[in-house]
Amino acid sequence: MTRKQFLRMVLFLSVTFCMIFVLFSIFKSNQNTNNTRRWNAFYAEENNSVDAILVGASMVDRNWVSPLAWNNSGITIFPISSAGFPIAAATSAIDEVLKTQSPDLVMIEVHGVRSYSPYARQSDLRNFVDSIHYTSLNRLKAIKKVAAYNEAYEQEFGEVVINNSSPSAAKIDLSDWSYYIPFINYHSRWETGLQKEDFTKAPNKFKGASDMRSRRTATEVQSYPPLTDQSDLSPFFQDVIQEIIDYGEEKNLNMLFIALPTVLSEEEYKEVNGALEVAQNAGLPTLNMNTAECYTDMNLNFDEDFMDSVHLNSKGAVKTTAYITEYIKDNYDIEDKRNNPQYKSWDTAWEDYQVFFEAGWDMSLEDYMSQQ
Amino acid sequence: MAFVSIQFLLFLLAVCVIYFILPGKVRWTWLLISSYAFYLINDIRAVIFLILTTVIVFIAGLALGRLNATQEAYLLENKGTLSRAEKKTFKEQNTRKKRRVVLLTILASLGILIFLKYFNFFAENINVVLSGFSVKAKIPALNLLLPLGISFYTLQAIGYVIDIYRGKYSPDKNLAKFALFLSFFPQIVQGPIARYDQLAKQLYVPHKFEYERVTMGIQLILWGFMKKLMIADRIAPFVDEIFNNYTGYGGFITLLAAFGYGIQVYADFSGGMDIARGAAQILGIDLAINFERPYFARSISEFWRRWHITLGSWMKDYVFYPLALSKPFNKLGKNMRKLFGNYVGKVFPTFLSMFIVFLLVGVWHGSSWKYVAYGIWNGVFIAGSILLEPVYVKIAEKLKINTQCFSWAFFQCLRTIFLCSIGRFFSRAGSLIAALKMIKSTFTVFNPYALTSSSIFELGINQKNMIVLIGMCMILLIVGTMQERGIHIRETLAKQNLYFRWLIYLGALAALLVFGVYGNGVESTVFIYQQF
Repeated sequence: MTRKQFLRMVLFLSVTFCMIFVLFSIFKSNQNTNNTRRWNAFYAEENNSVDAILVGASMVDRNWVSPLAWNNSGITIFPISSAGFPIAAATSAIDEVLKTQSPDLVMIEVHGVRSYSPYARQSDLRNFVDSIHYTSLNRLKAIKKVAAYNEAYEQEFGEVVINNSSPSAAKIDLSDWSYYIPFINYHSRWETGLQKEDFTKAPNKFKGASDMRSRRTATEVQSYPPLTDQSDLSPFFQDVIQEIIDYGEEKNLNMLFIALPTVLSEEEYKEVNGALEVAQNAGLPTLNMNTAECYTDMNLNFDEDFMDSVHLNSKGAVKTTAYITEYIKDNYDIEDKRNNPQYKSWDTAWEDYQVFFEAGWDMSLEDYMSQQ
Repeated sequence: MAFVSIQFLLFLLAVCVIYFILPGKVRWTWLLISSYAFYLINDIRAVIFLILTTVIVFIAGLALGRLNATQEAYLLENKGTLSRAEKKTFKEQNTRKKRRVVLLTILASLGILIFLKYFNFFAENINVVLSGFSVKAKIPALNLLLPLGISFYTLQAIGYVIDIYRGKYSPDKNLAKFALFLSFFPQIVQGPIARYDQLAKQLYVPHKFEYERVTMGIQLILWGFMKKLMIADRIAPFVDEIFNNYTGYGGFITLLAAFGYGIQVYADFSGGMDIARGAAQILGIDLAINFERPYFARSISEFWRRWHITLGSWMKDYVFYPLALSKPFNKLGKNMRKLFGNYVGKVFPTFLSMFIVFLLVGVWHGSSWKYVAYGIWNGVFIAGSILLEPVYVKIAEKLKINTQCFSWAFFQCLRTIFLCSIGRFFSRAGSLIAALKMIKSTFTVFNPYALTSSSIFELGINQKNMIVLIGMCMILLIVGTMQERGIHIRETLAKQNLYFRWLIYLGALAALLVFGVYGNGVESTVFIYQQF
């Protein structure tokens, strides 16, 4: 091979890799989903500007209103969540956060240990790993961890049989290259039509809080009497919680284990209590919002505040956020940054959220909160 | 490890890099190791059959070589002393011994293939006959694995033995080198069926890294991937839908499915060939061309001279000529002359040999009556065209058809495509009965409107994919037309300006990456001919 040929080859390969990089950047997971816009919004935050994070599954972003917390306390709290977020991926998600942020408080939402679908399916994993930067090593870590978790889960509880034939519901198969190269999974998005957001980053306007339809009320949400004096969590899941605790110690994180309000069966109450108990035994603070006392303090209304049998609507989210924000103000010393011009975007998010809330309920957020 | 996979590309990259780094003397050894590694990764249980065939044929080759050498030495030594009759007797004795070796070798190697591929077919049919005679005893079906590439390397091995028998070349004295000839990884999956004298010397000689040759090989691999992933796998769901649910369809839809299968199998098989040839070309080895634009053929005979060329060529050299030139067939020809005249007598051996060849070609494809029918379908047209050639000429003269114009050639192409499409019913349908029912429904249901209805986009291929498919088929047609006119695409492209070339290469790669059918939710499809 002559020198000219070698240089030409190098140049051609460089151009090829650039082209592939551009294609990979365009053909990603749908950039207009809740999950991706939330992470896009997180990445858009200034370094070291996020005071706290709340890590968990869809319950987190549905039940949390970041702009309200900001308005009430001047504390920036970002939800780190995706639909079906596997609890085994929590440490990878926090690692991703720690690349650009140094949060004073890391809140872990514990509902991932419930016996209700604790096994991570493809979509649960992809909703997370395909929403963060595809060059991040934390993607690979999360994939390995969740696959190992699934394997351990099946060894503990027996083989999981998935009756849903949809590819998204399938088991995680590490030999599937599309986990490592998401483009393999998303290259066919030309069929469904690419959107403007695939070429430009589409962040979430509300600092990660859900911007799905505000008005949505589920009827006949069955609530069970809260159970606070019983706990029953399998050793398997106790170890899962303990791993997160150990990780927090290793990284010197200030952790709070939290159970957001939702509908739970008797068995699930015990599991959630058990998870919080593990944290308490490790000397860590916990906040269980599934108690009769909490429901009363929040004025949680099971007929009005739920959008389905698990998630709160924006009314319920406002109540939850207000409650947690007060708790943080009372128990943690985090600087109030209201009137700091560097946090103007949070003010904007608050204004936008008020418009969003009002459009849904025909009532201003201020009026609604004054009624509570 | 599928041919069309990232794993194969990484494997190929590793093989090529190490090949060019190693000293020249050991490069062929590296190819042998790589080929067996490839085989073991794909089919670890079946490697024993490959080794068995290799050893049997290698020993047979040596034995035949020794007999050839003995004959040659004996005749040379006794050149002046032996009479003509004595020489003839000696040669006949030697030939009988050689024939025994060849027959035993063919029985052994073909026996393995026949047993593994056809045992259950024979068992099933014998059981049907037995039950017809109210015999309760049944031959049980066995759970036999079909080793990767057995239909290909067995023919390759038999060809080697027969060539040595004919004295075409001397046998390979190195078992390892011979093993490489049979197992060379780019071609073991689905051919092309190589000849020892064409391939072996290329395998054993070290090749230098040549920039142009390597880039040509990569371009051919890219083209193969495009055919496989953008055409074959795109049209597959439509073909599967119709053939797997044939009772719900008929008329133009089933005909379209047969035509579609023709496109699928061509893109699939020739795409695989391009990948194999491209991989070999990078390593400095030229594998035989297996396709020459078969859908430009003007007759079924010509189609089979352009389709799976190495199989046709193998059949011609090792089945057709031995049969057609054999004494029994000659005698048959003479008898036919007495009954039907000179022309029939002259062509009858050819006619019958050709028919047998295509019957074998059909059977080679698989163990089912539908493949027998497939062979008969092609055999009838090809053999029939030999017999009826004077009749066709007379008809054309009577009807004053100009057979030298474009419209006639175009008609012949369309006719050939149509006849091939009907033949595809046999090779693709689930059974012979299904094929016959589909053919019947094709001609008894009249529904041209079905082709224009939007519901056609609910049969496995939506509108957008149809556009991509048609676009890619147009590109295939343009490329084929250029090649038909003697234009060598890659060489022509190499002469263009740099930026134009790069635009084409990068555009092709981008099209493959975006429009290729692969990924989550897509069942990985093996090559169609890999199953044969």
